[in-house]
Amino acid sequence: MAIGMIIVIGVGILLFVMIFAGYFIGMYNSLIRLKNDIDKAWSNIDVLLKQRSDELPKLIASVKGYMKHEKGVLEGVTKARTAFMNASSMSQKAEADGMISGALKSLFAVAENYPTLKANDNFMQLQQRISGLENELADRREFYNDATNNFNIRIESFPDMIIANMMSLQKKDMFKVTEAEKQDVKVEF
Amino acid sequence: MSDIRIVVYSIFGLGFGAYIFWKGFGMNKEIRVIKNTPTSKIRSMAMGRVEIYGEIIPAKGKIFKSPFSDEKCVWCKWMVEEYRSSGKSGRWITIDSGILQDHFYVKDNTGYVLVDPFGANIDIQKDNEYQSGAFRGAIPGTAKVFLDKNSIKTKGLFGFKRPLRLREYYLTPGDKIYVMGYAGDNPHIEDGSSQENAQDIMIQKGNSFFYISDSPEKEVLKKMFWKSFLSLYGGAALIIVCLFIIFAYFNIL
Repeated sequence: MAIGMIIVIGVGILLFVMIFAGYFIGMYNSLIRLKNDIDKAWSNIDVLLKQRSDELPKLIASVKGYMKHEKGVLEGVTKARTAFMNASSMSQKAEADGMISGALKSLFAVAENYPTLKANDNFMQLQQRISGLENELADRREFYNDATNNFNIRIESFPDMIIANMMSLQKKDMFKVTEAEKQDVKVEF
Repeated sequence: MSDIRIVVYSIFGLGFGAYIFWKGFGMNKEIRVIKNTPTSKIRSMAMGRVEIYGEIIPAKGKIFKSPFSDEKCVWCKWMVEEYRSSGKSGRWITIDSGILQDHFYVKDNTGYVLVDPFGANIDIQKDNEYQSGAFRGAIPGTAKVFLDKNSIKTKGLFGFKRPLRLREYYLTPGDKIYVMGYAGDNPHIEDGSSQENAQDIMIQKGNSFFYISDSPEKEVLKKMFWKSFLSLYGGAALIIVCLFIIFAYFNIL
């Protein structure tokens, strides 16, 4: 076979090896990126959790004077905040997040019984700020779950699973809504 | 065609094949980034690489008129081409082109965010095309005024209509667009003065790619997949064919 033909065949083989290798390198890099994206999505939730937790003492201070007979509700918020401050792992923080959301729901529902409190500008501003943070948190939880779902699907699909097994990648947990958050708040008038 | 011209074309083909082969890898990377990035809600968007889908809202005073159809738009690309014949064949040559662009907002059901389209790869459908010349129809009055203003003659020799093709692509208020870009600080707003998180942020060109399309994500991925497939395999095939021709010319096959 002439040298020219050998070069043409050699280049052909090289190009297809490059496509094949490029495909696997791309797959590896994208799994790494996905894994880091999940960590980043969690950090973005954590930032908001911290911001919401920082608002709670101000909220309690603003309602304490009005809701003297609602000790249980206020204690619920304080307890949930303490649980969040002591949480170190992601699952503990997620659990504390559920507790805070549940406690806040109760507090805002009970606040409906206090018209003078509802007329307080400071309380209204805090309620608005916390509700805004709650909405943003809900979006970011959804984003986190989408990223996690992408990752979980990829590491279980062929051929990504080959690379995922080599990298010992494990399925990640979704951010689940706690039973406390799902329950409706009972308001007694 | 003479043999030596075929060899010269093959050498160019070889270079072009290598270029599109390389581009194919880049496109593949972009496909993976789009696939891996979930769509963010504007209200809760975080800094960094983001993907959003929403409706265009013009920023105050930042609205243009498209040059040929006089349509209100926030971004517009236009080109004027002339048909030039050489022998039996001919081709369209761009004689003038331009882009009108400025910031605009994108709104979804949770909020709105400022987008700076400078440096974006804007991949949108052609909106209007007009042709002038013998048997080619006429161009609208607005377009004629624009061409006159830019000193582009619409009449050729002996007063015959010049064979021109005018094309415009634009994004209008209310269009739904897909944006993949970098969410960074909004330089048009003072830090901490905004009421909502998204007002502090502007989507712009960061260190990853910046892409805007008038198609939803699924369509974008489909289009990009075929482009990348054709670039990779087409580029590889072109390299092999061109090498084959060059070696055949020098009798070393």
